Amino acid sequence: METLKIPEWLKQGGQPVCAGAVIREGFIEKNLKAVSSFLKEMLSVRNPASGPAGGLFQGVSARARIGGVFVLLVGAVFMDNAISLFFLISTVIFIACLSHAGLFPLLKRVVPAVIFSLVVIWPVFFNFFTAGREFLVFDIFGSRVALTEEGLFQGGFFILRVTATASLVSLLFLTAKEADIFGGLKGLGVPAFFVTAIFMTFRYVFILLKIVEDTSLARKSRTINPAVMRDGKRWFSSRAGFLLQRALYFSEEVTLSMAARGFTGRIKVFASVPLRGKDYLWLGFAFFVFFMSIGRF
Amino acid sequence: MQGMEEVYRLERVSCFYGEVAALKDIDLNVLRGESISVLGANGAGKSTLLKLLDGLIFPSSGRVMFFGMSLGDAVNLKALRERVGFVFSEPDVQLFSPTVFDEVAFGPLQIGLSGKEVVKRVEDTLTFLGLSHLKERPPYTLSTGEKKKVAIGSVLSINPEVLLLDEPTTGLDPKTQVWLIEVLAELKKIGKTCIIATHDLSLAADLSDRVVILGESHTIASVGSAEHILGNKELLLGANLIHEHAHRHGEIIHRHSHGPFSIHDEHE
Repeated sequence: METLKIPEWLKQGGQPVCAGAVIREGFIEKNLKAVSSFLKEMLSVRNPASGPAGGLFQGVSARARIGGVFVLLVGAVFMDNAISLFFLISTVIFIACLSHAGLFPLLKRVVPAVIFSLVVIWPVFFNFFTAGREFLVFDIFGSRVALTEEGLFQGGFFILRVTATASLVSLLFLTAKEADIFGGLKGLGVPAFFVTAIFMTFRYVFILLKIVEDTSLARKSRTINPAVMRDGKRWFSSRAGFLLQRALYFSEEVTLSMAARGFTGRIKVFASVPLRGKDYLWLGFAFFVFFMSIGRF
Repeated sequence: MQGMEEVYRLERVSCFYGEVAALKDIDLNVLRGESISVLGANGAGKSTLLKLLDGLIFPSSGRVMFFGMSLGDAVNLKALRERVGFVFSEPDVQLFSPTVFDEVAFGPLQIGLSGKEVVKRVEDTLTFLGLSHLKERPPYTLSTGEKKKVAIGSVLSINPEVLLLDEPTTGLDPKTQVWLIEVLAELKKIGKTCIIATHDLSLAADLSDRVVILGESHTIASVGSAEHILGNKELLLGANLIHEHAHRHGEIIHRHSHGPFSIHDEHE
């Protein structure tokens, strides 16, 4: 039998532990961590309110919940005054409270959407984009820049619409388990293959995120200083290629595992459960708001 | 084993991935109710062999016969899927449904069972495997052991006659490994045919009627009873399934194989 020969350097002890600089994270690491945590936060539908005994909204079937929210979303697009949008937002907050979803989790999901909208539309508030009655004038490097009433109204209305739609979608995510959402989509007649494809994308995003995190940690465990930007970018590109390979591997293996259990291209699912009283009530409310918004509510 | 019906017959089966050989000239038969372990080092072709047996890939040359019919030509795919269940080595590729319940229901629904029958099968399977408390959970939130159990459940609910298990004990803690061996022993008792690809020799010793050794040349190095094969140290060393280790006890040099399945036999 061959004897294992240990290199001399492997027998020597390591450096003594001493005080040093605080371990910092590099730009790429920080961003990977932030993106990963954001995606997890946004995509994962796990909270105490999503359970069956959660509250008011949980009593409505997933199919009706999704259908009603969709109708209200379309309604919100047609609403042309601030009061109706305020009404819709208040209704969402009211339902969220009665469903034990909580105001803070709702805000946590809605506020980023509002901030993003503000970043996109801020020029609308000013006279160089929306002409109108100026009510606050600034002198910036000799240029006259002013906030206009019309700009504020248009921008404010857009923000309100975003708040209403984002809070509706957040309410749905806060009060339903992901299985309910996908089951509900199937119940609404969305083709099963399409729903399964969305779910699998959703599910494997988490696995790929885990691989990204682990790869980043494995690198961190063998480096001392955070990577300089150029090296970091190079490493990131090589990992993107690795991730693509893993994604391809998963897609092939998942297809085989589906075929092994009888999948032949058409996914068969359970028949939908019929709608009940609460479902009709919720859908009735949603359609009422929708028709009122079309009729210039 | 004489007189037992033949489930599989492989005749001079070779399989290549491009230029790379995965299996070469494999001749093998599997009888109904038999429990066979396919042992081999990493990359020997164990997983490829299981995929061939499940009709997921087809040989580059040779024939795979299933109950006397050639896979790929004559066998009805629905009949094959109803009779053969495949547990993949990596549970993550097998668990793609929103909940554990949906996962276990996937197979029975695809083979066309009624909703009522599917629900009954799923409930029974979850109870049998002790997974009822997890039925509403998304599979990706489970631990590795739980995922493996769900993957097994997702195949058992089809009630297959043949079970193909790829590396079933990999990544499991000792308690779950023992649980798995007990489950497989129960399935063997009720007459299921089990083909297990593994490099866990103790699993092979506990469950197998016969052991097939796939060598690193991708051919069958040996086939025989578990007792005969697992007692052959030279064969196991040659297939890289065990590693020999030597140390000194005073004047005596003690040589033995190393790993979870050890053969202590030599002193100098």
